[in-house]
Amino acid sequence: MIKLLRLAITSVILFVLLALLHYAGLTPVSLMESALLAMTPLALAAVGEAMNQKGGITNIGIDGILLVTATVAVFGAEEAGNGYAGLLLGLGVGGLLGLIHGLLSTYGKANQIVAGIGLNIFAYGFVPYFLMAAWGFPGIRVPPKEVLVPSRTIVLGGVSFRISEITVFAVALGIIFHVVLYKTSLGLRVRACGENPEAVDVAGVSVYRLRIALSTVGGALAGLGGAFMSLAWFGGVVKEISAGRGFIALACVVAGGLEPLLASGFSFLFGFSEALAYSVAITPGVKEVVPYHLVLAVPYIVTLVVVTVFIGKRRFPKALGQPYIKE
Amino acid sequence: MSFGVAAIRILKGVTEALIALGIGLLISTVLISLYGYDPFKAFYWLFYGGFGTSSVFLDTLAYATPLMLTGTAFAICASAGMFNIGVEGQVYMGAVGAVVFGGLLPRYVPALSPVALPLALVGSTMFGAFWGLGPAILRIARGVHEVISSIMFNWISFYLVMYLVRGPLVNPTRPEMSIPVVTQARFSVLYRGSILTSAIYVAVVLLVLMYIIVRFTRLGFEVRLVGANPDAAKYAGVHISKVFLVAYSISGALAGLGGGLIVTGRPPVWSIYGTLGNISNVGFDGIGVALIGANNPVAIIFSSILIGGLWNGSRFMEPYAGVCSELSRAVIGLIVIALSVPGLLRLLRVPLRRWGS
Repeated sequence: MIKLLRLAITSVILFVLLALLHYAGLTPVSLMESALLAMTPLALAAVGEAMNQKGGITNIGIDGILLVTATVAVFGAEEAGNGYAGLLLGLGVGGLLGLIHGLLSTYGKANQIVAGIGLNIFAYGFVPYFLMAAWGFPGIRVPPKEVLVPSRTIVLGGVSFRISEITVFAVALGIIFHVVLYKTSLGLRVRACGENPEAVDVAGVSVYRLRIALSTVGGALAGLGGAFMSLAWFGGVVKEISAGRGFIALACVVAGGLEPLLASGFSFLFGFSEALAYSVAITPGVKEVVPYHLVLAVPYIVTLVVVTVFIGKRRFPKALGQPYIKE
Repeated sequence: MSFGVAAIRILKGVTEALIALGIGLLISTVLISLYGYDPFKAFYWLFYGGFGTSSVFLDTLAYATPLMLTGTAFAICASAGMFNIGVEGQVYMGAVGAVVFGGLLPRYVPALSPVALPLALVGSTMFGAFWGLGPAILRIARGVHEVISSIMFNWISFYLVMYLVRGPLVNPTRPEMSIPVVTQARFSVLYRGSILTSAIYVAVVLLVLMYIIVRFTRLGFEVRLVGANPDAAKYAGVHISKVFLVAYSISGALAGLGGGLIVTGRPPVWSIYGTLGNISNVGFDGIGVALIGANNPVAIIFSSILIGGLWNGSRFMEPYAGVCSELSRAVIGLIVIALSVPGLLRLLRVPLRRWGS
């Protein structure tokens, strides 16, 4: 019954998407290009967070990390005169924020959800302040074109297609993390860390250090995603640039049952729905009929529906979100 | 509980909140100095603008009014062990409810004008409660974590409300805002020249009522039991799903009323801006209010005055110290992070003991 329902919902969604696509007269190539752009920050944040949660720490604050790193990455790129320096700065600052969250969640025994909420609120205040402090203009910064990170053009069967190497990296990372998680002893330790931290401790591996490392990696990947958003996708930063994407990434993680590969797959679904919403919103013939602001709400509605449908009987690590207290 | 124990608990709570505030200000000092501003000047104006004179303090109380409700809204769910991050969206929906029932309806049915204020408040409460049900139902029926679903509900309501106040509810003469609530649906200003209205009485009375409900009723006991130990609650015969549903709808109702009180109780707007500028962030900052107030509705009266003061003071910090007003939100975020660590006092006692011995 549930399976049938799922199938029905999925096919209805697909049908509506195809109908919209046809009606709007969109080319599949341009749509796919924007879908991959929208997917990349989600995928980076989601695969990192999937590993983090497998190890037992939840970071609700990745939305804040995306926001902060999107902003400081523009700053770094302009100072260094090079977009890749901005990406690196985003990676570093994201790692630092992940490290802080990891320290709070282990040695601090913090309530991880509260700490994450705090990180988000901090980011919502810090970013407008930083924009003002660094450039003296409220709410927005558009850097010169030279410091942005360009996409590569590849030609596949006569069709030219623009894609960023970061996108390829994000997809590869999902596969690499899957292999690490299930084929290596490190992966076994990570999974044990989330299921039975006492056993990891008894085996002589520090639960705290492993969790802090995972949290740092997760933060760094979200940071790379944030930097990608401002430098390789939007070509600038506004104070609301993350727009809840950190939470959509979290939705990818839980909908995929904390599996990096599935999380990556869901992030493509959300990237696609976002690209479609934006394309539809500005398509002549559609924009007169469908209110723009309601179309912008579509990715969030899709997220809710998808999480509700797929979360099903997913099993989550026993020690997820619990501070580990050594006896 | 004897008086002495209660006094110690209050003292502990206050000290913990002060330590968190101190940590927030300390880190902000670094952030302010890094970019060449004067932190002392910034904090002077932040606190002088929030609490310095009786006239700014009245405005601080006005900003604190909706925060009292959003703070209690978060606290009720937190007592039941749930995180209602959806307070923000419930505020938006509540504000729309006030505009629909206190602005749109009385214009079409003038006979309702004399009761426009109660109508607006009931409307905002209902809209908020309705919006709060979504995440609760998804959690109960499908196990979707309420943090993720409620953020999605926030964004959906953000765009929905933006569409409404720029479309069907737009003010024809001033298209940058929605139609205002009718004059009968506005709380009276308490002191000439201030933006404080009698809406604050509604908030304070409700908070005291919520304190009594949480503390002394069966429902309040069940909420706290589910929050403290869901397994024990289940053995004791408590319907956990029912408690979740009730807690979330009370929470949504309070948050919605908070949005309604902004529209009906804060001059000179009496409507919703097309940017949602006057109703945004009230929900998120309610989280800080609840944490500082340790989820106690009476303590929340005071913590919301603190956060309201930071809001109000930040309007002075920007012109007089040059520091962007949004920095106050970063301070609130840092306070929340500091309060996420349990036993903040205990952490502090370790270095103190080291110095002592």
